[in-house]
Amino acid sequence: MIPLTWYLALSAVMFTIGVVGVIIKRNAIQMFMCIELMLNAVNLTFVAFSSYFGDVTGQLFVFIVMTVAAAEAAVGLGIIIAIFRNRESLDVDDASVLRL
Amino acid sequence: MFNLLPSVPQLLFVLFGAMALGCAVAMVAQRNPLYSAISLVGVFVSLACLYLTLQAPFIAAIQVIVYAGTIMVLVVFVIMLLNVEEEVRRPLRLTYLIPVGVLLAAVLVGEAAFMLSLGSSAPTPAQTTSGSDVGLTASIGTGMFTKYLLPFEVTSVLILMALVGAITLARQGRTPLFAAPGNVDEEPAVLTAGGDVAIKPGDTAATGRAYAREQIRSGDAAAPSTSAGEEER
Amino acid sequence: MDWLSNQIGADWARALAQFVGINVGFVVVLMIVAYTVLAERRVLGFIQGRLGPNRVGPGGMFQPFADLLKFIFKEEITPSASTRFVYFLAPIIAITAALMPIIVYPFGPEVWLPFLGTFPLVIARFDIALLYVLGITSVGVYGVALAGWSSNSKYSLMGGLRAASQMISYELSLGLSLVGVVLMSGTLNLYDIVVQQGGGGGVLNWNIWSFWKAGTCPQIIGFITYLISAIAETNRVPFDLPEAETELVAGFHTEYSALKFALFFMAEYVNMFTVSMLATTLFLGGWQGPFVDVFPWIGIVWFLLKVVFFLFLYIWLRGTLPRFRFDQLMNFGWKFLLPVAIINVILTATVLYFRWS
Repeated sequence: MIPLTWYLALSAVMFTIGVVGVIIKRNAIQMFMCIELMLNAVNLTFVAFSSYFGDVTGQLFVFIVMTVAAAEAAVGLGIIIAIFRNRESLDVDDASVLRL
Repeated sequence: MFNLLPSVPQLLFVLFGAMALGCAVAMVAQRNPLYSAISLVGVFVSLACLYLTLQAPFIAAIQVIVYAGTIMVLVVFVIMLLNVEEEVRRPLRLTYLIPVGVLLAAVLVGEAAFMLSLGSSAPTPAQTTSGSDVGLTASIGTGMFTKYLLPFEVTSVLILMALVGAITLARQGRTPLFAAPGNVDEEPAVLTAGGDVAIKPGDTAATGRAYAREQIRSGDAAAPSTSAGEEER
Repeated sequence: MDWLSNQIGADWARALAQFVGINVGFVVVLMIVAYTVLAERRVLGFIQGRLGPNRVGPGGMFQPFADLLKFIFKEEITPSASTRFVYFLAPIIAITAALMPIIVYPFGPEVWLPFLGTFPLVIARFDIALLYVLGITSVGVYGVALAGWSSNSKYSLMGGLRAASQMISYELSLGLSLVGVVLMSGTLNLYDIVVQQGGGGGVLNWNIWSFWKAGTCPQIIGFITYLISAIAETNRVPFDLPEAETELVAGFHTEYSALKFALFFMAEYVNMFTVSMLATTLFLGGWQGPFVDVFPWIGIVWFLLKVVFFLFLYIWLRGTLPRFRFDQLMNFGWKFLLPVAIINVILTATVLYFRWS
């Protein structure tokens, strides 16, 4: 069978890629997608542990994480659209002033 | 029996793990947001396949439905609607942090290597046999509606809040929700200031209606043949 | 099978068997789809008082192959300002997402063949078959949306946006109208759902009107909402706004030609076919019918007959109904169909609660 550590290593690498993306990206939508990637990396560890220990709790956590991610997507994209409407740009460096 | 062939789950893990990593790297490397989004869909789908190798079919299906089918469609939709431009290259700031980053990356790689080496020696918990029902829809449903009922209900409230929040944020027009056309009682200030006002870009329907009413009152335009009650509105 | 598993191991033997099964299934489905296209043209011709294609072969029997040859030999045109990679990717996503759900549909009961033994006429039986179908259907939106975006044409973009928003909106009522059936059968496995609709009552056990069997509730409302949202989901008349030729030329595939257009075209008809198969499986008893117990192979005939009924319904509607306006479509989906589907879920749950206790 596949050792548990394979899944953990894959998840760690993916999480790191997500962190790097959040740091180096300046486009709000791309940063948002990197955050989703990090959430997914965490989900992978949850499911791996849940499956290896034979406990369903981890998968329920994943379910709730997904729901929260969906809510986050709705509100986050709403904010992004509002920002774009005011500034005609999605570059987060342009949105450095606290007024319209 | 052949022993040359790897076992099917291992092959699948390598295949989809590589696909997930490749798509993740591509997502960060792309400058065009739409290409990033497509790569991220690739990550989600290959993660769903990895969940299948972990005997978690329900989570795999939900992963495809929620992430690939809903969230990313929304993102692609926004990208298409806003016609987002490609990222411009800018000079690097904070260059002194690069060595620190390299150091931290080395620490992380070392940690991962340590973990992997540990995996071969440390006792791993026995993976559940294929006969167990963890990960099947029934067991997840039982857990969700008995032991974890409260979190589940709270999540539904959260979804409702997100729904309202998203609609409020992304509404057309810049008037706040409570001053929506039809809710305004007073005439906007533009009209009361001078007599001769034209409709300007940015005006709401309320302004237009008030302007029309002003014209009817001054006799510039004929009143529509409606009852008095409707005109009062 | 046993010999094969001894040679290369049980896992690989199963993988090989499923690979063969998938390919056989795809070929069969694509053939049926090709003849659906021909049937559509002939039936539309009949409805409109003309002949339809009847020159290639006896009664136009070889028309699908002639069409295919024409598609292959036409010139591939790529708009110069298009986004190349996405432009090529979109038809691939569309046809893949259309074909993938086929593996979970039960075409027939367990049958016996020499050398192979007893096996069910379904490629894969697993716990989450219904969720799998819904998931793949929701991924199919990308094909349409990306095609519209990458063509760099205003008609394509409008068509793609319309198609994507329409498919997202009607997916909700599509999924919700199936919940009633799932509540009744207590499983997401399509094969088990069909097996449950068999037994003593015969036709009366089909989920759409089964009431006399314990723990059931007739699903007529669910069936109707499913049918309407399925037609919208496949972008067919009267919901074919994404391809409205009077406003949008051809919608999201305006800029596509030759084989890439053929892929979109096939995807549309395969989608019709899978959606009809889902309706058959969940509401009309799948392969259940007279004499199935005696002679299992006849199940596949019943199944295909029911599917063909739905395909005929599609063609009939196309010959009869005018097109919706886009705001009407959205209002209908969100303000009427979705509430009705939710009411059906609540109603079914209530009835089942009282019938169980």
